[in-house]
Amino acid sequence: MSSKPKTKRDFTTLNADITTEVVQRLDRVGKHGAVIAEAPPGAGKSTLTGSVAKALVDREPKLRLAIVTQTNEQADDIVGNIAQRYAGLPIARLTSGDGPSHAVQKLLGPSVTTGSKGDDPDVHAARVVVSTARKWQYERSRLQSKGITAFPIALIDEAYQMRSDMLLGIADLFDTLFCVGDPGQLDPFSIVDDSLWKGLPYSPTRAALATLRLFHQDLEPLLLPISWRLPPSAAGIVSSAFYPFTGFDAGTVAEERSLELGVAKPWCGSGPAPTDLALEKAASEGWAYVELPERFTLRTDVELAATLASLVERLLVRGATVIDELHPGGKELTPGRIAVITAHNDQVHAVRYELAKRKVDPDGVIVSTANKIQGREYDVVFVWHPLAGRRDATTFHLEAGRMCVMLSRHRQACIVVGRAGATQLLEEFPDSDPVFLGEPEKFPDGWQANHEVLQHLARFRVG
Amino acid sequence: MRYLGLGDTHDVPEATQWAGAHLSWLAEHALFPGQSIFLAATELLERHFVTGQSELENENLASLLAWIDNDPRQGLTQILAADETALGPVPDPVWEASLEPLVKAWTEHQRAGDQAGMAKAAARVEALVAPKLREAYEATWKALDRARQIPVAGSVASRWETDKRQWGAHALRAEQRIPRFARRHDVLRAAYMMEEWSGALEQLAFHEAIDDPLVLAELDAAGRCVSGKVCEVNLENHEVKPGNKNKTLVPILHIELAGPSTLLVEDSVLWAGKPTVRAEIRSIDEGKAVLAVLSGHKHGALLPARGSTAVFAAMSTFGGQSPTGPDEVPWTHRVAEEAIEPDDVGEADDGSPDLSAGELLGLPVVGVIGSDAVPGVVL
Repeated sequence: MSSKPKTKRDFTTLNADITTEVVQRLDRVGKHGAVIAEAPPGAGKSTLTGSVAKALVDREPKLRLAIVTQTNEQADDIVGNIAQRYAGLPIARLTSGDGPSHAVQKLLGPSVTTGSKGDDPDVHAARVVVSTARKWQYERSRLQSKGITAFPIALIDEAYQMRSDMLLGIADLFDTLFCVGDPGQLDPFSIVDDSLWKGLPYSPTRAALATLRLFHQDLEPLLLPISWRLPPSAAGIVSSAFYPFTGFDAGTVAEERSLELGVAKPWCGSGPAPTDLALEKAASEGWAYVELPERFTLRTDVELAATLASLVERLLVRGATVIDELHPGGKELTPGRIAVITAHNDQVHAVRYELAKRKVDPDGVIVSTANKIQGREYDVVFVWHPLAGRRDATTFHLEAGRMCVMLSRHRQACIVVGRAGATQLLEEFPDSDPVFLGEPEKFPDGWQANHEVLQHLARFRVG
Repeated sequence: MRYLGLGDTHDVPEATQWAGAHLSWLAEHALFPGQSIFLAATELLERHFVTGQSELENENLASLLAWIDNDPRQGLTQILAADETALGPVPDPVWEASLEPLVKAWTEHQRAGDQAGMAKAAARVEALVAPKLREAYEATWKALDRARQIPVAGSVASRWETDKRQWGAHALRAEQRIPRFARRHDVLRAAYMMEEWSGALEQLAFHEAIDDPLVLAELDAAGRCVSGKVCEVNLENHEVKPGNKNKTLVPILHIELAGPSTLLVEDSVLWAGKPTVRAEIRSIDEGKAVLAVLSGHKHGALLPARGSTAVFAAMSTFGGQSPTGPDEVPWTHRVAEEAIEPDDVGEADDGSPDLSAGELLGLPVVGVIGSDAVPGVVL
């Protein structure tokens, strides 16, 4: 953990510097080369993608640029983002036959167009064409027999969530790639049994960038050094547990971020509300770990769901003011800026049910799984510890990426609810996963990252 | 086994080579989602029964069967007893260790040319292995009998057709000569199989949900359904559907939701009662959902009746053509041309054995265990 004195850094200047660096590197690698940018949580990936796109098309008046995303929502977000920042830049959203979503339909106009084929006149006239990897794969397949005119450059967003076979399916369309993503988050997954391909560098279920880097070993990723989302209280642990080699710093200093809880209104019991202890600890220190007694439970542990719901309820009852670099005067903490993150879908439902029981609108706050909440940002986050109440510690529950997503969504405070015995479970449960020759080590190691997180949380234990 | 007899490394009977070819086909086909030619009994049962064991423990057929057939009045007695038997992917290490000196004895007799000693050692091995084998064999039949008590699902026939077609393709190859299998999939083949298997898996998930109310309930519990009472059926609504010029009937259904749903407006859903009926969510709010039925309703004839309970599930049944794979390996998936060493290319699919005979002989022997070592632990 770094304790060096921090000078205030400026996001806009840093982004401009990195954009220039990316464009220069793209020139250097040329045809059949790639530039990779690795970004920790909240490092300004979306902004960078937009500004690199803008810089590239501004520089070469004839350049047509492709942007590849992993999901339709991400593609829509990018179109919205670029259309808003650079009005007038002709951009097209390439969609499947079903047409664009409502979000994109609202943006359509002279500079935002849509079509289902790359050679539709509207799409062809655009300088930037955005679509999902899957759609690009169909596009490549369609053009295969007709002759492919490659796009000179493609930007791949969330590239660490892309599977190797997806990249294989689109690579012929693009001469040079700019891949940006967060290596610490969840790897792409597939429920197809991939035992036959274990150890192969081109295994379809590997991450695309793992394959790319194995075949092109000279690629040196550009590291985005700063998280503008995570508060200084969180950057240290997230950096050391999940980004042990690269590391990053918080872009803000402790004085810039604070969460001021409303007065401790009386509650129906006697003494201080037990939830207040956790909330106050989190507000002042950035973290709180609520540890319920040790017990084996079902996956939908009712007591744990109820604890999470009570904490959310109490936070809403007390209210809070969020002070950060964007709102130095403070703004009210709204339910939409609060998230509850679980590992499983059924746990999402358990929490929503408990919220509804307490007359808290379960759609007002965000309750979601780690997989679905990747890339999102909130002020206060509540986490259902994946090992709470379990008898086994499986690879799924130990995956470093999952824990990293859970602990890196917040701007102010993170409250984790778990059960005693997690450390012991971690130490005692035997690893039953087969080992395959030639398969790269999962890095960072899930067991170790979880251990480090539990040690960190122990310092903030309440209850 | 599939490499035996190749490249003059070993002299083996032709039947062994055939066995290698068929086993290779089975091993690969076992990965095809929804296939029913080559199944592990434990996987088959686990899909239909829930036990108090972890997934890892369920891999032991003895204890899995004990859980399934347990007499509730007996408590855990029989289950705990079955735990002592290992009918799983890994044999009981203590038992395995008792086998080792017998196999060693056979080898020593063979080296000494002692036929009688070999026969004696072989008989002792058989005496130890046969009862274990018989136990596993009988348990497998018991598992099959248990599985056969479950009614056959509607989609089984179509999946069996796929199985037959694929076996047929293997049989056709076998008419020419002993089929050879590449040591590994090459880049393009692996990506192609990924596409195939993903498609089959998607289809399987869809069929299971339609066939089995419990699977559908799981989807519903995860909020992936719109389910509840149909309180209004509007057959008067006409719209111009995308790609059409004229207005056609788009029936509108109002549904009173029986449970929470995470689906959103515009999401596409299929009616579990008749999965060819596809609808789009027009609004979903405060316990009510409005669906527009876009296709498969046969002019309004095929729809859930007013007052009935219906489940519409968000399932992808994309039946369209998959994109074709690239003709050649693109630049991302190979080493840049100037960097290729001659040795790096073209070895994946030549069907040759991993190691030559000379290389095999040169390998050091590892894992030699002392007689007093703990079974199952290699130091």
